[in-house]
Amino acid sequence: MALDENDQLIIEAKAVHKTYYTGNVEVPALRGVDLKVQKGEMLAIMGPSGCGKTTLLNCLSGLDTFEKGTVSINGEDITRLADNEKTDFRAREMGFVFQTYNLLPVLDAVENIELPLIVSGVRPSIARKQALAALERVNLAEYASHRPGQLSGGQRQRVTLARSVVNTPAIVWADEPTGALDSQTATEIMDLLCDLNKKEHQTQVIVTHAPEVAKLCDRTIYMADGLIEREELAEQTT
Amino acid sequence: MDQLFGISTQTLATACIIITAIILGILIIVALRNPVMFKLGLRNIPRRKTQTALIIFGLMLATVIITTAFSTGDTVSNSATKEIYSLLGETDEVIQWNRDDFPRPIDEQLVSLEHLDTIIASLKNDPDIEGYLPVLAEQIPIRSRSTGLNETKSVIVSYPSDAAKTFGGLIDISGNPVNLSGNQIAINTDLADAIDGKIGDELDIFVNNQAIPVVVIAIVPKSVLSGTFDVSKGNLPGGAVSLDLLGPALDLTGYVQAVLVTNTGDRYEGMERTDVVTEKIEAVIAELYTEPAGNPGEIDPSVFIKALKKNLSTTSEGNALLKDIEQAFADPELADSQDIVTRLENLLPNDRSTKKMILTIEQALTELASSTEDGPRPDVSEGVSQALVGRSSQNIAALSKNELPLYTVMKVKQDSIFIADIAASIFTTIFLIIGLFSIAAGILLIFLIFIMLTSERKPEMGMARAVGARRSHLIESYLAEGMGYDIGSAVVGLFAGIGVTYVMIALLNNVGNALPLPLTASFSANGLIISFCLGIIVTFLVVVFAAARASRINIVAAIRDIPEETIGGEDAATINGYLHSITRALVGGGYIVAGLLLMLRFGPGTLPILFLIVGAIGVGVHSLLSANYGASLNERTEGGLPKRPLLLLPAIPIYLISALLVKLTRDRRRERFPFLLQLIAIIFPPLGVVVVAMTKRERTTAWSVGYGSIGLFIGIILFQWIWDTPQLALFTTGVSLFFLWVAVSLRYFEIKERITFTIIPILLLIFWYLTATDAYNWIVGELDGGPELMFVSGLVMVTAATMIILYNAEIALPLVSKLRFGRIMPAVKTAVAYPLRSRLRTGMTLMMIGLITFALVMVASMNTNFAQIFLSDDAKGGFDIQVQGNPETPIQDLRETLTDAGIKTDTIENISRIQYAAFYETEIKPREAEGRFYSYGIMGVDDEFLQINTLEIEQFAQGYNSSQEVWEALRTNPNFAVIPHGMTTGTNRFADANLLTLEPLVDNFEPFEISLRNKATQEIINVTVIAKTNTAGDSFGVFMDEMRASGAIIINNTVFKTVLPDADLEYFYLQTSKGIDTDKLAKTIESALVQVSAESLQNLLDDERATATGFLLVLQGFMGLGLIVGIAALGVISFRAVVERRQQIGMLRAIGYQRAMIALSFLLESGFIALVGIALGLILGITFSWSVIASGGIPGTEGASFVIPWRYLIVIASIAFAASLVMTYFPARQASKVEVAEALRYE
Repeated sequence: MALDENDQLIIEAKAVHKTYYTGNVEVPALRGVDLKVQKGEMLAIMGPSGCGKTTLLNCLSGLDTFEKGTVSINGEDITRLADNEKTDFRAREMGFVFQTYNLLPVLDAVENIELPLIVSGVRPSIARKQALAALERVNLAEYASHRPGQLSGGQRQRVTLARSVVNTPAIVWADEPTGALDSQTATEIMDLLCDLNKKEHQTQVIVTHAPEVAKLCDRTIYMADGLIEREELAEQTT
Repeated sequence: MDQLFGISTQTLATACIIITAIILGILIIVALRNPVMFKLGLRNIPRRKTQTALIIFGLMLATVIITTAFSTGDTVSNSATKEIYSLLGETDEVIQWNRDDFPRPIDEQLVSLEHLDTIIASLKNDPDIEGYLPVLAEQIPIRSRSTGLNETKSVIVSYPSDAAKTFGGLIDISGNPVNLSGNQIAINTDLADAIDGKIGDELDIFVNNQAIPVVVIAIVPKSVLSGTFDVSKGNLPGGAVSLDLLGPALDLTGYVQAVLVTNTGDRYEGMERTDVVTEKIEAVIAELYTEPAGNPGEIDPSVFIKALKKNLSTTSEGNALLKDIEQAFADPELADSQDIVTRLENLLPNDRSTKKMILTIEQALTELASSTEDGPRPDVSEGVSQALVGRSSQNIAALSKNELPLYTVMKVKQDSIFIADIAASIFTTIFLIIGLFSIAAGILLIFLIFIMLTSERKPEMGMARAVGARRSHLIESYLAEGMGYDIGSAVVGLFAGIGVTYVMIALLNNVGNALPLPLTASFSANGLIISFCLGIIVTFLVVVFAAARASRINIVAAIRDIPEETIGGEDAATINGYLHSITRALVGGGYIVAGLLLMLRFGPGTLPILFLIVGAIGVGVHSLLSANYGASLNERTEGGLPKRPLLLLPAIPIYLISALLVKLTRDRRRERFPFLLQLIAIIFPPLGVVVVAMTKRERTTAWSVGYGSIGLFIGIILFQWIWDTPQLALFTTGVSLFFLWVAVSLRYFEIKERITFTIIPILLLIFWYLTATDAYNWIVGELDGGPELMFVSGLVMVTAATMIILYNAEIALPLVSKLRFGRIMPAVKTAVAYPLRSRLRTGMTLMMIGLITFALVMVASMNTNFAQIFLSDDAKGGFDIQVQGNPETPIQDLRETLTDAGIKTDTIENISRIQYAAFYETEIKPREAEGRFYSYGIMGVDDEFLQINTLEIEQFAQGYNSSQEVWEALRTNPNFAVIPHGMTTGTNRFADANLLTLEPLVDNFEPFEISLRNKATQEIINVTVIAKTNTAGDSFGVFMDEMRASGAIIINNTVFKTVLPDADLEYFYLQTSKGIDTDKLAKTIESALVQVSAESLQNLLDDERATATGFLLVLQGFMGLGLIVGIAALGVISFRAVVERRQQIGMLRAIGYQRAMIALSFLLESGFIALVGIALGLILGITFSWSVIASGGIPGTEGASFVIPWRYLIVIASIAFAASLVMTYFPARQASKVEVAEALRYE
């Protein structure tokens, strides 16, 4: 995948700085990160605990704010967006997968999945159809009316996955999507992610500790102390 | 206030102190035994300051409510007592005419000064009596020449000023002594208000139709010395004049209306001698009159001659007449009584007392003439001699033939204080019962708070258990924390309660005319002790229960903070397991409950004692089974009897028996017991304890089944109780507990929860709706309902309805999804989903709000309907103004009198004349009935009234079909009568057993006769009842009755005059042209005619309504405290939800929820709960009060239509809803501010 094709660029971060303040202690989490991600690329972010992987993901996706630098998604500088605009932007363009699933325990699987559509103003009946279709894509059609508490970890993560793609977002952000899963289930989840990436040409940014996850991605960046230390393309990872 | 629910407050306070001391003792022991866990608990208190503040706020509400209820009672008691001391001053007793044994018109109930001298002489130098004060007191009209205003019902008193000094003397409002002489008057503050009186004003007082000019020299506070005798009334215009003025004017030489007595000691101490003094005076009175004096049949004509001399001796014609009268009495059979009467009428003034005297002379002559033909007729002459006695004849001695005492000694101060105390106790009871709703809501809130706390602490608790803490340690730790909050909140609550009391008292003083006296907030030590301790006790019990529940955790689930799995034992859904659970619950405390209940029901006896002892052993066994001591040999790690239970069970023998039982059985554990043995174990308590001791420790117990069965047992006892205490509350509670048992049993046997908890609550609701009807009379007969029923019904019905909602809400969820909410759809989705999934929290909050709304709606609805039934505009009977005449100055023709006074009468369309005899003047009974006579108000109406009144007939006798027919029949046949609605229902203000109550009538009833007897002459007339009015008839009569006791029987005035010639209350009912300002016209009439008082009927009606509404508003203000509880619960839930759902909020924000959407979701969630709770309370409240009114279960409501006070309900609902939204606004705002990335990281 060619990195210099600017028209194919979907994410562009320049000199992103982020510091956490705990009482009087300053903890620099990102110290001037530059990153470009192409459309349809599957990017893994790796690195030791506390290196700033999740912080980077949060800053890139607009979930968190940062002091310095810019992040553009599809050419739109999200740092200039107001909170509400940023939220709408997320609802339209992004999907999220978290390690702890973050499903609403009070809603069943299909209701959880249709939430992003409803937020975007899709009619409930259409949202339900699309949610069921997404559930089918993650092979959980028969669990539509199960609530998260009634599903296994892998099933929950598949629901999260379905939720993240139901609104056909341009980018899916995944923070340790396999972190809480056994290896077999983790493989299943990654297969699904790869499948979606290939079929839907979704850009995927995955924070992970697991090399086996990273190796499934097009590119892996390695972080240390709030900076990108190096990056590897898929062929080189192995 | 000395008593509550019949128990002395001193006893209650002592019991509360003992229980609180035990609780504190337990705490101290826990702290000493296990300081680490104790500190662990206490240290949680300052961890989250906002949360702590919220918890203390929630917990204190119970104390606030109890304190307010008690303090309001104390305030009423103290204010009334203060008012009584201030009004009565030094007066402790009053000697009065014995009107019970010698009934006679009120102006003839006199005390002879001669007799007073005898009493004083007999009790000379008595150490208990300080002084006597003979008092003249007369109700007379007064007009102010200075302001033109008048007051028709002022009580003017007069007494010797020297003697009055012992009674404190007459003092003006500035504290200066007042000396009256000549034509001076001191007016009391109420009279001053009524006539706008000032010092120096010139007034006319009208005595015996003569205007006597007087000058105001002082304004004095209300007291017996300024004309206030009736301490139960609020408005008492009166005044004092000198004896020289009033004595001659009343022509009462030698007699007074009352003699005041003051005991030795000040105004407070003196009362202690009341019983002794009363006994002494009564002994003297009895001594004086036990010897017969005079011949019973003898009538002394000299009394008439003496009375007539004053008016007749001045003319020759008069002197001739006097001689003829003397002659007539000497030789009655030859006398021409008619001639004498005609001449007397011509020569004497046309006033009431003279007319009465003439009538008496006529009667006397007629009766004497008839008695002399066949010898003496003692029965007739007795009646006549009674009639002769009085102001006109002053022949009191003639009555002393009777061995009954002539006078009674009224313990005025003692009785008034006693009544004030009862009133205060009623107030406290009302406030406590109404407060029970709020207290119930408060308990739910406390429980909810602790459930929240435990769910928050679950991982910590799991860790503590994992590292070796026992369940009891967790309970102790919670207890420490809970009691920290508890004691803190009880202190805060006590002060807050005192503050709320001040607000309530200010409201009571200012809203409507709820009370006849001004209240000053006051507090009693007992009241405050009870409130403080009850606050602690209630919270302690809830904390223990919540802590015990919380400590039962699955360690792994707790540490990982994941939902607990319900572990089904092999016993689940089997009969054997069911019986096992019942036995465990009985042994674990059920026998004690049963024992206490049996003791309450049957008194101390062998059975209750057996239950209590076995119960105590059972608790001991339970306690030991959970300890290492109770473990089987292979599990026992250390030996020895734990000392802990000693603290809980001070009865050492019982503890030792328990220990022995456990020791003997611990290595003989059995998997299960035969069915029959289990069954016998339940029936025979001692065997039950052994069976439980021998049961394997691991066997799971379905506690709810056990509690349900204990409920059933209590239910059976309550049901049995009604055979000798026919209380509806016992029956309904008993049956409700039965339903509870059925529900938990069905659930145990795995019948689907939704089905069980839908059908059973529906049945329960149907049962409760039918309690208002007579549907259960065939089982239990007629049962009595008290105010406590409102609370029981509210609690059970709201619980039942909450169950139905919670278990069926999921059906409604898809419907919500189908509705179009536009852009807020995402917020609606989460807002509805959360509460429906957290059943316990939502259920408790729903119950809190539902309970309070139910209570508010019930009170408002019942009040509106009662006002509609009893105080509707129909009560005016088609008239607009009531004019009360003065018996001293009768009016022959009101229209003419008004015209003479310069009032235009063209706007007055009709004037009816009604004569009225108050219930204390009448004697009636159904003619056929055996036994005593009762009383009832009677009105004699004229033809005009019968032609134009619009009072509606509710039930007709055979042959009558319309109200018009009935009134026409009454006009043409004077012997007919119409009875008021209340006479068949026993509805009267004081539930006075002296008032006649008839059996309910059937439609088209057979006309029946009732006998009316003149109390003074004993003359009887029978009238035939042909109809019964509707409820408006009760209120119509009430306007004429000063005591507002009951309605009145309506008869034709020709009959009335025959049977009750002495009844002197006369009214004119005016019908005015449309559009006339009746209030203005009434005032014009009153200012023009000094002898009458006139009032707009609409005003009278409005006053009655205002009194009811005023009190209602205060009650609702009090109930509003409960609403705060419900709203606080919403706040607690919302704040907690923000913490709990932080991560979910982050996720929602990540997938596109705007900040506003998150806030809206929280607001909608609370709004949704509040709305459902309010709707639940509204629907239940309206429908239940409808069923009560429509079924006619409450006397007086038969056949009434039901009115819903919409406007009022909308206000209640809106306030509750708005308040809950305001309360949730803060947590909602907090939720919307959650930072996404931080929230997603949050753990």
